[in-house]
Amino acid sequence: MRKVLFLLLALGAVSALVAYQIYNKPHRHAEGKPYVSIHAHELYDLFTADENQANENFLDKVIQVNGTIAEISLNQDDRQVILLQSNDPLFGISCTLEKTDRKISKGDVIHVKGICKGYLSDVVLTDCVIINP
Amino acid sequence: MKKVLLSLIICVLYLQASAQANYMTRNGQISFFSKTSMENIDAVNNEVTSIINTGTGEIVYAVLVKSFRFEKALMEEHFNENYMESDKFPKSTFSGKLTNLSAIDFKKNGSYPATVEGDMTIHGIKQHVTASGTIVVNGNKISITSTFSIKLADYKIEVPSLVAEKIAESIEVKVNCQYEPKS
Repeated sequence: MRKVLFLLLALGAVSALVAYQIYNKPHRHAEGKPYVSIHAHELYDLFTADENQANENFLDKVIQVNGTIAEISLNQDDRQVILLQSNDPLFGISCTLEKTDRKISKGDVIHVKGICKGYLSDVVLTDCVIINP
Repeated sequence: MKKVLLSLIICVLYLQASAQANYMTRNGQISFFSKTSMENIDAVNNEVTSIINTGTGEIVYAVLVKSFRFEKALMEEHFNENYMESDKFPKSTFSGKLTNLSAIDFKKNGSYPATVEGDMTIHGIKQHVTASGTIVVNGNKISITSTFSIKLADYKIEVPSLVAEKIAESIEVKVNCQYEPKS
């Protein structure tokens, strides 16, 4: 009888711990091998040509994009946002950086890894990290 | 000849004026807040794209559902998968017009109360809405703030009865965008 009670208690404790861990599971980061490595021009063209297809391919995936920095700005959470050039003079790939730990400037060619969130007038990546400046 | 020249000049001036009339941001902020006695939930999106045409008063907002950030990753997952179905409906949009455009002088610094009217699309459902806010003009920068509430039922966002007590029926939405002239 005691054994059963102990087992039940242990089971209860374990499931409480698991539930707590699921409740507090960490946010995703752009970690691991990217789903695809692609040039900014190509990614932008894929989204403008067929948004639904591109969403199906890239949404929520960690992707690596290489391109030239067209613009650097700060968002309202003081995070750096990089716009990578596309074939369109006004729009491109907007990459919100997870942290600012590198010196970058307009015109730099960089590789960025981030999570693809979809397409507005730019293709949007968030939680980005710069792989090599 | 003089007349032709004059109309040409007017034409060029007009073109310049309309070219300068577009202001844009791609880093605007939209947040929302759900308050119940059981739980408070808030989420922020810093990747809002918005364009306002100060000549016509037309204003457009677009936001990607997947880029709302919650405090808890699990809430973010439920928001995307169970409520907003963001794989199926990746973006929410508003497209409308300022209804009191004549009361706002975009060439003069100051703070102006503003009202908009237009179509809001969330979760694939389009609704005609009105909202009020404030437009602040400061040099060649414009900022717009607005607070309004939306009812989940209006956009067919269904909350299972099991968690219904934790999620408010009406959600408070805050918009805060800083625009620059579109080059």
